[in-house]
Amino acid sequence: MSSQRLLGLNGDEAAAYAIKQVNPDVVAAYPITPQTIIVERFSEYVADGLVDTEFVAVESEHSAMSCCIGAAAAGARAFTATAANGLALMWEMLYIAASLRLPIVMAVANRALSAPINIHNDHSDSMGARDSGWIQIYCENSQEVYDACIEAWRIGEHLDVQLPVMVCLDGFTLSHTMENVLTLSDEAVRDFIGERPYIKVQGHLGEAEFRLDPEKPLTMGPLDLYDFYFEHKMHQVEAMRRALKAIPEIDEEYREVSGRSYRLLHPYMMEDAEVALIGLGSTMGTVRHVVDRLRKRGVKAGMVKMRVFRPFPTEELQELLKDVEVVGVLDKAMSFGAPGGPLYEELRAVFYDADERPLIVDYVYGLGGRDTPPNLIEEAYEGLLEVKRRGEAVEKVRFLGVRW
Amino acid sequence: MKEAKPGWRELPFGAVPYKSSLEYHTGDWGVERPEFDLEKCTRCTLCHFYCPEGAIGFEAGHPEVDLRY
Ligand code: SF4
Repeated sequence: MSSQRLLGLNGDEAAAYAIKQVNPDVVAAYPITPQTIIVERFSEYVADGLVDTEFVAVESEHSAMSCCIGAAAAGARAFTATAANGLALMWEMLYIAASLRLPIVMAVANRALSAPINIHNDHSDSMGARDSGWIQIYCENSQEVYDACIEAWRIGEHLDVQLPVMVCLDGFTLSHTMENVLTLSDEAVRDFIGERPYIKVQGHLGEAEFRLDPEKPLTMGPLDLYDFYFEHKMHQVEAMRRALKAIPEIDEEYREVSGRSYRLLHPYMMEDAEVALIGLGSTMGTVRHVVDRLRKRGVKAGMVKMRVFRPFPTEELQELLKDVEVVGVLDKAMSFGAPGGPLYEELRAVFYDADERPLIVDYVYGLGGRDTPPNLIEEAYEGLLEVKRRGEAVEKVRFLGVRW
Repeated sequence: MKEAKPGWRELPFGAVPYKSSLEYHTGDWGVERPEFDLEKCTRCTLCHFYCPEGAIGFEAGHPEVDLRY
């Protein structure tokens, strides 16, 4: 393990600092609250000559992602950051980045989508992008943001994966809250991420590295109709499946360097848990605190923090939750008109065929940054205990913390 | 184009086309293509009239399809 320096950083600064150490070739970004600090801080690094990065101050997020796509296709390491409506404006380019298999890294400071206009945290922005083909990592604190912004390059660039990676941090809760963050030395980061590796592909003029190079011409993503589009989508299916394997491997390497390891899921007090909450992001810190409180009172409560939402760790979840009696899903986004929130629907799908499965209820919470204090989480656990007593969940989708 | 198209495992990755557009014709877009069994064909010409694109000719006295039509 290399020596580390303790810095006071908020989530945005932690992302910017990690990216400074990564020293990518291109950063193209447009500022939007609550991501702004990432771009501001990084542009200072550029102005101070601390990075070699080409910083492109673009006129919109659509251009930011387009610029990253061009840079990554040419073989560069490209980074951007955004939030909410900025992510929405990138929409069509998100799908293009993923299907062209470009390992771009993007920090998303999660913020509620308009309307009505709101700058605070929920997951409606990144959850909307869950089908875009990006790997999604959700962070609980600034330390995780820092670590994910380093690991993301290795995950996305893994030769079995080659996909873009979204590092999600809760707006304000993480983006603007200063915490102690252990940081690696610049050398340790450089050694860990190395150079971007290129996969070899068979182009129309023979074998070439997968990057645009006039000496070895390649065509990326031209017209691809009913004769090949489906096959190319299979490549993305397969890449996500392989990412499930690659992420823990890279994590293990990162643990050797940093002493910190994250994996796909973080169970807490799950060995004998009868009721458990599962969710993403910073709220899970509050949930852990509530689990401790409940355990002191003899309640067999547990929790699972999902760090990686895409690819979805199906088997690991089945194994972790099969013996739990009641599972509550914390969804910080709603899919309007759907049977429930996104995580709830997927979790239920995962357990449909299982012989041993928990009762599953959904708690949609925190929309537009609605505060989620420990007492509210405790209310959710009480709801789970009530389901356990009854042996059935009458009301499956609940809205936690809304005024009735 | 007569050869079978490659499956997803054989295709170059990253939406890179497996051959140049100079060699890839509009008629190659098809996933399936007609073949005539002239042993069984009664020369009724129905296919010639039925084909909405008029790609099936009869100049040779039996149906022939222009795959690059
Ligand atoms: S002429 Fe065409 S439709 Fe008629 S039998 Fe031959 S192939 Fe079939």
